[in-house]
Amino acid sequence: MDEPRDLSPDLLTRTSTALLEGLRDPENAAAWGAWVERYRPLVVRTARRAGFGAEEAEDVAQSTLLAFSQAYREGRYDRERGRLRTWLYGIALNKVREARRRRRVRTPADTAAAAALGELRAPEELEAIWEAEWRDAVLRQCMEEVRREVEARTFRAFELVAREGRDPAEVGAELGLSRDAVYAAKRRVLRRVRELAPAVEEIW
Amino acid sequence: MVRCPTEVELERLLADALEEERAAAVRRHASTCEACGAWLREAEADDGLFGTLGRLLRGADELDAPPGSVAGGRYRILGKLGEGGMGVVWEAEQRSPRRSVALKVIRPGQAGPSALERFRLEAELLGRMGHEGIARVLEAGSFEVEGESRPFLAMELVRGRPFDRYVEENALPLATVLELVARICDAVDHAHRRGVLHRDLKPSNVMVTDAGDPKVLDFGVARLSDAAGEGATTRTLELLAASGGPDEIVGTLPFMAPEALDGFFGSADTRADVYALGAMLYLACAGRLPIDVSGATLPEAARRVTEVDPPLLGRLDPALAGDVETLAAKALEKDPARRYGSAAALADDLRRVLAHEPIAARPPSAVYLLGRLARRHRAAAAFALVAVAALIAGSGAAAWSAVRARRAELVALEESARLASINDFLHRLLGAADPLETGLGDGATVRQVLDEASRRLERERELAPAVELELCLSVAAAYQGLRDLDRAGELLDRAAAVAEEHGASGETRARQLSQRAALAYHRGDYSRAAESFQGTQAAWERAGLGDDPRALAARTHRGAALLGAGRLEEAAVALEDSLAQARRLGADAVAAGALVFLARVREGLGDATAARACVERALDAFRAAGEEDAALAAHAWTHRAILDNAVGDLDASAEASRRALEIAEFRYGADDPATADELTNLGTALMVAGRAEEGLVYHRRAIALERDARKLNLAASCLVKLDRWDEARGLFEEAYEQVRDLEVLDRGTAGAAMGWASAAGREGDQASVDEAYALIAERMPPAAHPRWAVWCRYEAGRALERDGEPEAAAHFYREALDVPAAREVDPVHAARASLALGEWLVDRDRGEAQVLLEALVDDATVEPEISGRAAAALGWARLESGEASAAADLWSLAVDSLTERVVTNHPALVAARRGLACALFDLGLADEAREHFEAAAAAFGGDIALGLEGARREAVAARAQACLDGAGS
Repeated sequence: MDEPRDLSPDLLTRTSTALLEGLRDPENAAAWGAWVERYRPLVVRTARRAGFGAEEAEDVAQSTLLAFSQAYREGRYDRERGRLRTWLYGIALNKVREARRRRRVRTPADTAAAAALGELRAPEELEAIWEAEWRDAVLRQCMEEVRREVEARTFRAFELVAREGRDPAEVGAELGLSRDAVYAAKRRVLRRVRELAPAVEEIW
Repeated sequence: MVRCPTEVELERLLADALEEERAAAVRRHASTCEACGAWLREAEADDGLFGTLGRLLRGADELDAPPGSVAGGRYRILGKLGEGGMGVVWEAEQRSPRRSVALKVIRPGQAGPSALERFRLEAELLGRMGHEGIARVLEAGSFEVEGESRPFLAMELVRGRPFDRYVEENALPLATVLELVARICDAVDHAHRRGVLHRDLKPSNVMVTDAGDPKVLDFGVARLSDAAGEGATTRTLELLAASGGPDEIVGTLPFMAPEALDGFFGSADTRADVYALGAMLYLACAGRLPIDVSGATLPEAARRVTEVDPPLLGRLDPALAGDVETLAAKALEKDPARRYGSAAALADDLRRVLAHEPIAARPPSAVYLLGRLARRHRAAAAFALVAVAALIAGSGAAAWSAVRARRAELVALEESARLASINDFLHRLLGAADPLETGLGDGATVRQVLDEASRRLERERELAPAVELELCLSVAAAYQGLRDLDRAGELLDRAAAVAEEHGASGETRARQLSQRAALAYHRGDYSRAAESFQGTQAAWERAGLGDDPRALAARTHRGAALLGAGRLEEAAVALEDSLAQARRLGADAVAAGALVFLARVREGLGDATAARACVERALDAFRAAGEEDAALAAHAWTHRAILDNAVGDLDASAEASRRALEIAEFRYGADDPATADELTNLGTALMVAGRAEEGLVYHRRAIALERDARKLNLAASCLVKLDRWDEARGLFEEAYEQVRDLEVLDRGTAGAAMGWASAAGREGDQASVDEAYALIAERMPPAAHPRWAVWCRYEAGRALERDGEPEAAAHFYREALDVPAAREVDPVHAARASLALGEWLVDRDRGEAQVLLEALVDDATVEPEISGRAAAALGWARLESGEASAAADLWSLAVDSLTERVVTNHPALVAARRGLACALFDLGLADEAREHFEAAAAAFGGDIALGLEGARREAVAARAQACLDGAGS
């Protein structure tokens, strides 16, 4: 069993608190960059799942983050009064509405998503998407952490069985591992992700 | 069943891979065993997570990868290797040749065609690195994805572990760690020698293969992401205003050199990579980072990197005390100047430790440790800039409302004092305390704060006059720092009106005059500036502050203005006066400034020796004043580079130029147009030193920042040196387009016309060549500026000679001499033109050559180096007409005077020694001749007749052969 390990220094310099701190300095392009890097995909994904095309989703993300940056610099965001997640969502929702007003959705992200979602009807629905995307983002970050921590082959084994649902024996043969080693790899990654998730969630 | 099944068995159970009988037994056991039951429940719960993660892994592909499993028709995506700031790295299989590669696909961003072109050029440079320790760049290009270009890099796929994990997991002995780091240094040095910086070295970018071989990944990629991200930057304008990829700073703080954080982000040279190597060495030896940033906020972490010294290794582990500790500390010096100058130097010391030899690094002295406080202070000031800006915006509001309330004059006065001190701080940060120094550069935030301040000033009509005056002057000074002269002028007008109406102290009046004078100076109205500075000087004296540093500065600035107006003799007097005053008062910084201008005056007057002495004294004075990074110190280094170049010490010239660039980067940031001049200077210095490839990197950076005629022209010349005419041509043309409509040309703009002429001449476009020459002849009218006219024509000739166009060069030398009274108005450059023309004519028109050259030899006022070279050129004429004795006298004169002025391997000196040897040999003095032949052969790399042609070449070679053979027999 792994000893619980600390989060990597890489990640610690990138907690949302650290990022927000960095944002106070409008010249700190690095903080801005990291900020955009982290939350842009989240908004883009949410917008795309809400039925926007790639370009429109990028626009929504762009204007959401810009609006956030302005509000933040004007001191309108108070961490004590609510979670970043909720606040950012409020802005994103507004931007989605604006974009929707400007132009009816013509190019849904993909047919499956379009069929499932159709028109965006209620904010609750979008909020559910947002919450799910946020959770996904945290899990993605956890996987990145684990990818860093473990042997490349371990993660690769996990990836092949998890992503492609391939047979552990076959994956093992390809990577020069026994089938049991592939089981162990899978278990190790899963456990570690589960361990990390609350801490990452906390600082994300 | 008593004993618990193994985890392997439990896994098999879950996977239905146990024999039925055994499976039943395990299930039975689990139903009663708490531990095994819990294990299974947990594992079953993880099934949901497993499904989610699988979906995420697949989903990431859909949204981030080039669509389909084949990218660009050539790369089959196999899986994700990782994700970084720039984009996702995929493991992919290239179709032809069939091989596994790491495919780095740059994140979507609307990279325009010019950004893609830059990306391609940079990638080409990276592709030229071939070192076993560097993961090779195999291809760069772009995919079209949904109508937008996505740049990608295909790189050698390295299988191994990141440096830190490799070291940790293998528990390597110290010697192995040191050797490993030394090998990484070798790889980094290889790239540096090709002008490529890594800029993002960290353990995760260095893989170690199972065989223990290090491979550095992502070389120059941080830079590439800048190139590719140009479009993205304009798109996310506010968010990504200043620098490159986000990971560049945030994730890698502990491996970033302080100078990369110091004030403005982005400046980095080879020594920043050395720092990163030092941090990796430290991590590998001590098992911890040199600077602990865990749990710190970004500003706090940055502060630690710039201010906190890492604990000495010996304190963490006594086995590391001594050499390893010393060399790690040297690699991690906060001040790049005190660090190892190159990765190779670090590698050398590491290997000395391994060989038990004494290392080059020395522990720092106590004096140095004390002196470093000054630098820390400066770093803190840079970080405080934004804080101060916020302070002005915020507390300024409080101050204004307090003033508006008019509760008491007292409040206003207190606030005014506080505001004055705040403004003074901003003021100093902008470099505006010295009005002739350039400011921090065009920082948008500083400007925003200023605009806000001046907007409030305009609205506010109820300020106490003293406050209003103070604010007008401070904000005007700040605008001047940013070179917004019109805004500065308006505010100074308003200040003058306030002072007129309400009166002002003598000190305030003097400051006001000084700012006015500086305004004239920056507008290029040098004569008026000179007068104004004189008035300023008087105002300081009237205020009883004649000895104030600002009063002294006014004297210096008057000298600078006179220099600008071309009144060199007056300038010399004013500057000597200022220097004497500054020395008397012990004001080192003022003295240093005066010396910098004085050096330029001396050089303009043709006294290179005095100019050099001034530069050296200036640099000493800057050091003494703790102002080594002052803007004028950069000028001093640039000047030193020019002087080194003139005596042929080309490597020293490049080093001096590099120092100037460092200062500019420190002050303005690497991406500020204010550093572009220094980039061009360094690029040119390297080109002249025969390191054109290295130089080109700087030229490219320079013209990416500012495409003025001079920079374009010099960048093109560098390309010509590399025989890349096709690329050079466009730059020459662009430069020429800028200058063809100018009314008056100076040396830089005339150079651009020359460059175009050479490009056009190469294409046989004689009409363009003639037009360019005509332009120079017309637009540098001798009548208006005879001194400049001589100088420009001479420089034009030199430029052509460098470009391998001796005939056209001779034409300009003749033109220089044809300027009316050329020898009186500018004896220095007239003499140099005579020499150059005479040297060219020696083999063509001996009669005219002799007249020109003999005049130089006989003229006692001519610089010894010039007369020495003239004598050397005449030597051939004499020797070949059988006058060996006269020739020997001439050459011996040449050798003596050159020895004093130039480095020992300067081609002119070596050629003179060779000539002398020939003459001595002809006179039968073989023993004396031999020494000179040998020295010349060594300096010319064995080809004793280097640079000679035809009969003379053979004659010289024959004499040398006979002389050296004679010694053997």
